[in-house]
Amino acid sequence: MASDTSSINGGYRVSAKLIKDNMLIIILLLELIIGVILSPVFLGKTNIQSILINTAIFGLLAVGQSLVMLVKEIDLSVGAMMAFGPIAAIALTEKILSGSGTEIIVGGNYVVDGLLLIVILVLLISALIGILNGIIRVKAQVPSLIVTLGMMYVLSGMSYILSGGYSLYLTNLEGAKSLGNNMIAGIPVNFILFLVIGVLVILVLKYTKVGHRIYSTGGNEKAAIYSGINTNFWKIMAFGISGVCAGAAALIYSSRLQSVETIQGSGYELISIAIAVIGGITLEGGRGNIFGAIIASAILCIMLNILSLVGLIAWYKTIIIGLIIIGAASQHAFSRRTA
Amino acid sequence: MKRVSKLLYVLLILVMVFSVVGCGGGEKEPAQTGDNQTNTEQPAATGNEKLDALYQEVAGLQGEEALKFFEGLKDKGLSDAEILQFFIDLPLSQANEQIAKMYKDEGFEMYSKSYPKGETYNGFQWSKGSGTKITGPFSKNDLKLPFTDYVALPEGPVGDANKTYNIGVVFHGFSHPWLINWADAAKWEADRHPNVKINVQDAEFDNNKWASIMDSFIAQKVDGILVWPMVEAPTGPPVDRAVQAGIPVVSVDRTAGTQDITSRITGNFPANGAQAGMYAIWKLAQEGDLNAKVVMLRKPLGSTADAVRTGHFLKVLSYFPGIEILKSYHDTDNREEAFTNAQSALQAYPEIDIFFGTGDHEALAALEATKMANRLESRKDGKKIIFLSIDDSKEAITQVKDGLFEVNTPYTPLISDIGMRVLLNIVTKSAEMPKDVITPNIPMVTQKGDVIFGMQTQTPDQWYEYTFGPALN
Repeated sequence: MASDTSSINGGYRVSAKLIKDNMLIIILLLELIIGVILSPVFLGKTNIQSILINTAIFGLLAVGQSLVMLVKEIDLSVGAMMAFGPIAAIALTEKILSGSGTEIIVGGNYVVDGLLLIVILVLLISALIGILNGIIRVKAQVPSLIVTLGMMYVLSGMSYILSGGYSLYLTNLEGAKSLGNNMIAGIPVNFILFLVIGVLVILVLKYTKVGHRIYSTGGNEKAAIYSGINTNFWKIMAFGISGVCAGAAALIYSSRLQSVETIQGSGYELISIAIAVIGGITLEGGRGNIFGAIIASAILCIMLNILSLVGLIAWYKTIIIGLIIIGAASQHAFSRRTA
Repeated sequence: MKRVSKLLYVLLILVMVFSVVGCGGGEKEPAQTGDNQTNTEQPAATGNEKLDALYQEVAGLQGEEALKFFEGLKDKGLSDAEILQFFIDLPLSQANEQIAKMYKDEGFEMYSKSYPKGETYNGFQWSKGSGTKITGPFSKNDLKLPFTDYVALPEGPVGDANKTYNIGVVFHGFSHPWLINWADAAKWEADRHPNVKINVQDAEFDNNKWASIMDSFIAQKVDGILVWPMVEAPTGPPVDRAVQAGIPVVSVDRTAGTQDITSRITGNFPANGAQAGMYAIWKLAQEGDLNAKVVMLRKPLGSTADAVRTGHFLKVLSYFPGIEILKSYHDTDNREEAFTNAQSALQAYPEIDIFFGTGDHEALAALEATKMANRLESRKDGKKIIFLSIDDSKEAITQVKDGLFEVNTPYTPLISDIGMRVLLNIVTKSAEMPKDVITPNIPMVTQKGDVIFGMQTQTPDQWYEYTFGPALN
């Protein structure tokens, strides 16, 4: 009898642990079931593709943000970077190619040439800004919240100065819509790109010394320094990767809407933090994993899609999203206490 | 590590400086003004012989002479509507070089040309008192929709009474007083038809979310979509996708960045700007001095509302060399920002004669800042600063009534019901709808009702019932 009870208790503990460890997957599956029940078009090809594109944009931002949070920092500049990266890249491309007589902007605001250079410059500029954030953080010893908040304002202002506030059309730029709209076997190219980046980051964090150093930097910085880890370098790296992720997200965004505007990405920095938190990354640093952030981005995008399909108005949506963030953070905190 | 840091610092600063300075900082090269014999651009033919002849006459005039010409329009046999049309299509004059340069540098001509123009559908003319009182389904505000007789659709089922028509509505801003009333009017119209089911979605000022909602409507294969596009460029591709999927899309107010949209219901931005310009000149003439210093508090740079209104305002002012634009300040449709801008202007310029706001946020913020600075009557001889306001919120019209705003040129959100009716006509194939459905111009509102260049204005009491926003306590 006693052995029966202990085996039941043991089984219960195993089940409870299984649920606790896979909570995000369970939520994702529940969402899918709810989606199918509530809307007949939920599993439709167009709808799924739309969810995957959004997941790619928010997921990329969240992967970058998660890395920054793993080293116990925060990056509030990613949203502004999504506008500044493409705007600065187009302005620079125009300047560079004007030397060879190539006009890349016609009719005031139609971009018509220089795609490859623009793409490279978007990623380069975003990476440099991320690295600059990191350098200021570690060298000036200014909290990243302040540094990136300041950078957010600087980038927003510069986006307006460079663009004059006008949107740029990419509709006449050959190849510009590919990243945002093309599919491979029905799956958006940008989602595949996101998965590749996500998996790469997961593998690097899990199986290389880089991962150990990043987790150590965020988990216990002093101990990491004593054990010979250059924590400053890894913080700068995290900000740099976050910049690249924001640049990639900006490319998908601009390609999807075939335009670049000064307000694009506005507020996305908070969404990226929310996704990272839902995914189990803590603000204390050194805890959580990128897989969680990837699943969390899917959870958020599916949730928004379902709420939109059922016609729930924005007020209720924001309440639900807020509750999800609080619930997820509480659940993760509870799990850690009981682990 | 230090070397790398330094190198990166330098590199990034170079990129930023190069971007801002080297790339021209978004400023456009001023266009050549040429040596015209007359002050105005060669006026493009408007198709209205009477007006075209008048533009030839006014071309060489400026200052007092231009004023006299404007004052004589009624005597030339023009109706109120024709007088307003005269000012809307008035060519830019080179008489005021600063304004002419500003007009060209900011590309206002492009905005003016691309903005839909024409006659109202079936020659509809709005008359005072018409319309329908409602309680806003979302805002619960007491409203009166002015144009419910325009593209009229009887209450009851539309099209096939046995079919349910699913309509998607996407806009931004349940939290915005103008926009929530926009949504109110659309829903009110849909609710009049029992076989119409609508799904109203708020993209919360995020164009990616706007696109996602459009895509979810496409996935749902809705019968039609009514949209409020915040800006043009990013809203084109989603509209194109919907139209390609066979779903009619109708925009109301601002336009989407595609020519392939099924139909567009546009408001009266050109009239707003032209009326504000008319009033400014008329008021200065009443005061006996056509010299004035103007501060423009403007909506976001690049928005249709700002560019079309400001452009038409400046065109009227361009005939008067004594007008000086002290500064243009932009905000992001945010009253606090507009307030800060107004405060800066009051600090920077000891003499301000006119505040021109391209939206009600801007004019209301200017008034507040002026009161705080104790500058309300700071003009020469203790005259009051002139406030020109656009957008007819209850708050703005009340300021006209109280004599604090000199004029309001109404622009109402309560036009989305027209859009819904146009869309339902298209979806049910009940009537052929034009690509552009023009909203009638609304007379400007002044405290006592004046006659401005032959045009009768209306009083705040006459227009108040049509205003938007919550009731004032």
